[in-house]
Amino acid sequence: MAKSVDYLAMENGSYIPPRPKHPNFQRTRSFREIQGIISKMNPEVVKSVIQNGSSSTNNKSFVSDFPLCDYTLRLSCGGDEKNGVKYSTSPLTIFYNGTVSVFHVSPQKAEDILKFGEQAIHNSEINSHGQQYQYLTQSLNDLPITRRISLQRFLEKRRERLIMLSPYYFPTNNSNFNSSRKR
Amino acid sequence: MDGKKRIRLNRCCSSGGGGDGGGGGGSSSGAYDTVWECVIPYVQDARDREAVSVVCRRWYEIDRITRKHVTIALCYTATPQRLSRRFPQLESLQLKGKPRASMFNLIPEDWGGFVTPWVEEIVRSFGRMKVLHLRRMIVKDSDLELLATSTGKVLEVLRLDKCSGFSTDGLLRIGRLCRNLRSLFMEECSIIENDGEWLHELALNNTILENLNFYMTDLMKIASGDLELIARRCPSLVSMKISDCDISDLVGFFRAATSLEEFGGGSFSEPPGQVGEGVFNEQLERYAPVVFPPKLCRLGLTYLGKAEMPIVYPVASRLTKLDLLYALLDTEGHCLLLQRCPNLEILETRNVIGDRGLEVLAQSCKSMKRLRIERGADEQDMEDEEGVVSQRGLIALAQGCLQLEYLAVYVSDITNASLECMGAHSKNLRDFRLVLLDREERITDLPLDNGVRSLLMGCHKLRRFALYLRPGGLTDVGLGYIGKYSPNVRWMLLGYVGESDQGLLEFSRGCPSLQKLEMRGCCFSERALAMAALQLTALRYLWVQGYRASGNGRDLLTMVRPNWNIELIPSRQVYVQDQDGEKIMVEHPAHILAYYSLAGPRTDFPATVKPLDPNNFLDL
Repeated sequence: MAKSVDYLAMENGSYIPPRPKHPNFQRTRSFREIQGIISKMNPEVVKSVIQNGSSSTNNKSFVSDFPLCDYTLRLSCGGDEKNGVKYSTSPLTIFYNGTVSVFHVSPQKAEDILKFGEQAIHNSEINSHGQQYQYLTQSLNDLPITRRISLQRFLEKRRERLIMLSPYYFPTNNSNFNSSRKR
Repeated sequence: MDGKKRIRLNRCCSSGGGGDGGGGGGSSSGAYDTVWECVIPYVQDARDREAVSVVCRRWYEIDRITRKHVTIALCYTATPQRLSRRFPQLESLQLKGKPRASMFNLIPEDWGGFVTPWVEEIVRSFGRMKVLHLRRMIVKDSDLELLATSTGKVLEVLRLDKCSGFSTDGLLRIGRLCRNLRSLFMEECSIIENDGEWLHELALNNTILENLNFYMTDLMKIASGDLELIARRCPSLVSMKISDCDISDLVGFFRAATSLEEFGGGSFSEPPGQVGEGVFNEQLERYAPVVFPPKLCRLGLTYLGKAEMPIVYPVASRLTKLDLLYALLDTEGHCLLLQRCPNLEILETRNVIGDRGLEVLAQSCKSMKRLRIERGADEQDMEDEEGVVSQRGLIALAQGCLQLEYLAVYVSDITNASLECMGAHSKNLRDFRLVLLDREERITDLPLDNGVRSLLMGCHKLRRFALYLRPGGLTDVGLGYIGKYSPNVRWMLLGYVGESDQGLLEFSRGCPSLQKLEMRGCCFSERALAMAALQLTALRYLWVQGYRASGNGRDLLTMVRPNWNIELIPSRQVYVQDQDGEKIMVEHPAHILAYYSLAGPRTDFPATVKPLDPNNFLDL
């Protein structure tokens, strides 16, 4: 099954990966796309690979004749950035079907990959509806059940009340609860 | 009115030579006209009036002149001028703005729903406007100023429900100038607070106030003395719901408010140190002087804990409505309190009530009519371990509370059997909303096809229905059942239901009464959504978030038709502060909003909302 990934942005370069055979693979903006790929992998393998990968000093990424994913997939490599702050990354090495690929990901993303792998066991057991179902599970992650604003505010205020009453609380300029603490 | 009656009446009118001839023509038709002019004003129900207005020209005119109240479910469906031309003698108006999803933080704040053009028209053309009810709209101080100065002598009821955009300065004008105000309601509004003067002005200028509500606002500069002043000067004060204000400061207020039937809000201070016997007594001593007025039967106390609960006991047996949404009771606390409330009809609380609390409710509160169980905190240590609702609680509820008319519940587990049980017992149910929480990985009994079918078949009075599940929660067959077995349902919210476009299309072949449809997290394509919108014969409002997009909205063109506005809120990235004060980025997937309108496309789009213009696709 030939799929390709352009994780080195080599579209304009000399290497042009073969076209994907799975047109339904949805392109979304999040790293969660990997869920579809990982779902076909044995999570034990992924775990052992990550353990091995963290001790690897190899920074190069290999591209073989049988690369892994849809070529439109964009993996965020080279570390995570949030508001200009980079998070430290380690290499994540994946051995699949005779290919070796190395990604530099943050510990959080590595955790995510593991979680997807574990989820995949559940999904594959009840998944008999193919791509549509996959879309549903993806969107479940992107569309969490949101709370009513009024409840949200109450739960935040309750949490703050408890913090204020803890033995280690140091009062800052927080006038929010003056009224509720009137004597 | 049934078909036969309508034909007879039609013949009466046409024989009298219809048109605007008034009492002209034969004397028999003149007599009929007079009769109808006397009778029709007593017909108040909106749908009856709708029927009246299409019988003949004469009746249309009578309805037009005598219509007292209009509800406009979305303010962009008509223009203010059209309203004043059609119903010049209106005395009461309800307007709604932002989609319901804005209550869940899903809609951009500047989406729209500006009340200014409506207030300007009210001041210009509606000299009799006594009641104004605005829901989820943007209201500015200048709007309140205009209302106060122009309609101040006439305005009796001002209801600002989940509105935003104004400050206490606007309220100051209302308090000072609206001397005939019986009811001022601002629950859950976002208000910019400059001072507490508005409340003082209200206290000084008003003696007929019956209803004051600023519950769930963040107003903090509230003087308990002003509340007491209002209670003393307004003998008709029946309902007061306030923001945070320590209950021990309200002793004087409660003593003065002798007609009070409803109270909500306030707050209790947290007992310092470890909770134990001594602290319990200390709290009780603090709050023991609080004596509720003799007619009080609707109560909600913010931050009410187990230590303070005994102050409710003297009135518990009288209570018809109890609000524990913002209380600090655990499951046991709920059980202890509810068993003392045999006359309870309305209860609002969080799922900390648990299955055990529902069992106590089912045993003790046989008059239960409305039950709302919201979602509590997710963190294990913040809520009671027992605080989850499942099929066990639902079954007890269905069997014990046969008068139930409204149920909204967040469950952690569910079975088909519990829904079947509701279908068998809850024959009075008009409004049913179920959300399956996503914390548990395994649910006892999915999909819910059969249970949902039994529920819908059994609860034939159902007018509102919401079902929010997860992938695998309801198959296409189940979705088809919803379409087939909900003849009277006017509003639906569906989340994560169905498996494919087939399910949606089957669903949309049914639902003959469905006027408003909201969907979230479904797997349907744009094309299927558009086709469903065309197939649902009564549909006038559609909102969707989470669907299979076609890239540029092209497939939505299928539902383009006259007077049908289609708008998109493209996907956004919003930065919010999480509980640790850190900025995190939240993805908001795209929304579709489509609705019938006589006003044409909006003219006040913010940057976040885009109309779907078929012309944009002509080049493609």
